[in-house]
Amino acid sequence: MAHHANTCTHACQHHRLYTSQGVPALDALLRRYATVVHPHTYDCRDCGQSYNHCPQQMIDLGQGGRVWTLFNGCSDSRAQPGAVFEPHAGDMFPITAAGALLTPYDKDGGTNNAWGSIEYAVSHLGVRDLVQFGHTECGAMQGLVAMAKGAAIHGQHLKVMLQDVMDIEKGAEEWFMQEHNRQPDAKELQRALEYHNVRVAVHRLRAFVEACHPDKTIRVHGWIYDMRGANILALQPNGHFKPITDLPHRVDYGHLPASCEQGMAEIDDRLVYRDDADSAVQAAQLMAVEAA
Amino acid sequence: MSDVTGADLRELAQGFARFYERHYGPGGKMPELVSKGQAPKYAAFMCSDSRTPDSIFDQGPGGVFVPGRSTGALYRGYGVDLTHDSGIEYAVDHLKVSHLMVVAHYACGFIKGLVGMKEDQMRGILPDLSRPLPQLMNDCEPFYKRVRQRFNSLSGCRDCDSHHRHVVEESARWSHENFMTHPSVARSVREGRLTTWALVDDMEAGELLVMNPSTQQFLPLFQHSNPAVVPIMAPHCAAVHLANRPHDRFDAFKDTVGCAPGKSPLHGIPQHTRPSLVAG
Repeated sequence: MAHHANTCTHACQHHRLYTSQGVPALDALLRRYATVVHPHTYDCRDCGQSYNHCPQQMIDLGQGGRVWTLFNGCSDSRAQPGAVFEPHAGDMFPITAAGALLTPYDKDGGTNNAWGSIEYAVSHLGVRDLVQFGHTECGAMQGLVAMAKGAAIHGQHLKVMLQDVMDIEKGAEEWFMQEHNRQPDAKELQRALEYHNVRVAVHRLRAFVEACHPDKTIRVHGWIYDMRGANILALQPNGHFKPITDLPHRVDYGHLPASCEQGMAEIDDRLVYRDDADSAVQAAQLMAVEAA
Repeated sequence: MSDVTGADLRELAQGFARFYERHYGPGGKMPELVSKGQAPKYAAFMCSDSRTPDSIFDQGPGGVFVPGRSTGALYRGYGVDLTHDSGIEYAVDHLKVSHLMVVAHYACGFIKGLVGMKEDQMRGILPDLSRPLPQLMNDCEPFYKRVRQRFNSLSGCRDCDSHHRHVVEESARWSHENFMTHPSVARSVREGRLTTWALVDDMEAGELLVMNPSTQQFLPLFQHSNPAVVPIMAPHCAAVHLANRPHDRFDAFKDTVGCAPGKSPLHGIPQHTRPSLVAG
């Protein structure tokens, strides 16, 4: 990355273009842009130096130069993957839709934006990690629970969309009953639904990878942002969710990169998924949901 | 099952740690957002491009609802994609957002690919419509027809950056117009409780451009434009770029949208109360 060395320091050509005009008022406005319009997205990870704004590097590299993960998340303003994970510009390719719902992949029909966008990310940007990103306290899941209980739903499109995914609600209820040997109440059902939506979407993402990109090594993850618990949970092969780390409760933000080795080791441990007997059970359950 | 090293994903965990410190710690707004629910003022249609994060608005969690984020930031009109229609309905009718925005951006790979595929089709090279991406691009035919109509009147410069910029701006205008085909949007605009915007993120020049509804021209939202950054582009394109965005028009524009230099016109709009999603 020869160009990188010339652009990621304060002395880079384009930084000079922003700051060398000798007009204090102009500099103030530019700083405002760097901190308000494009905040905390331009620190250089490769050399460790911080620079406020270096557009040339991003333009030259294109997003394909850095993107490594796709997030399929919810529209909810509290759970935007770009806010929750604070990725560097160029790192993350997010797509969002209400409830992070993902319809089954069907290469013969449908005009779903999500699959076109996922294909774009995998085929053209070289993304190799697909993350289904759900969250708790989800309004769409709340609507789905209400609909299952027979309540009327405001909004004709929401109604149609939620009717389309009632199979997920049934799967969630069955999953809960298998685990607890009783019917869930409304709150439990919503939580079970939020989890099961991720399981089903992960299954659909895997089906897409197998159908369209069998020759590529693409990893599929299922994550949940637990808003109340303030943590990220990752789907395990047995279908359960585990916090990826206890990190947020005990790290010093200011010294994070140097002081969190233990936490990072835990993350590694919890993100290395291994084949086991449970995974076959999970796959069979999800297949049953799909078939239904 | 997946075999993950976790090396890359560590960075996300680090990011979440920063998010936690900022928004769950003292003064953080997440606990309230969890207990009271979201009440965003803004809804934004954005491109999935990794270089245009939703953090460009610096609203923090709970600030911007994103009803549809996919490649190209195209809202193709009412009745085309149920997911997008539902998202807009939820944002406008349930969350009662005050502003609905489409945020396109220059250097958009999807828009470039769309134009390229359509021009290939005209030369007889047919796309594989069994794949989701060509199919999605094919579904954008109405937009491409509009681009063709506009660009037949432009001479030359088909492959240069200026051409691409015009197509991106046109995509924002198109999506912005299409917003009004959605009954919820049309009704809310008519009732005066929703404003729609077309924005373009110019990551190259470091500007956020907003469309003046009366002239359909895109002008900087912040009056900080530095002509010195323009030579990043080829001289010819730079000239076209400047000719289309004369900064002395900004004074007139800011009066139209009611913003002062350095201050977003999107601030200070009162919130609406939010009804329950569930009826009865």
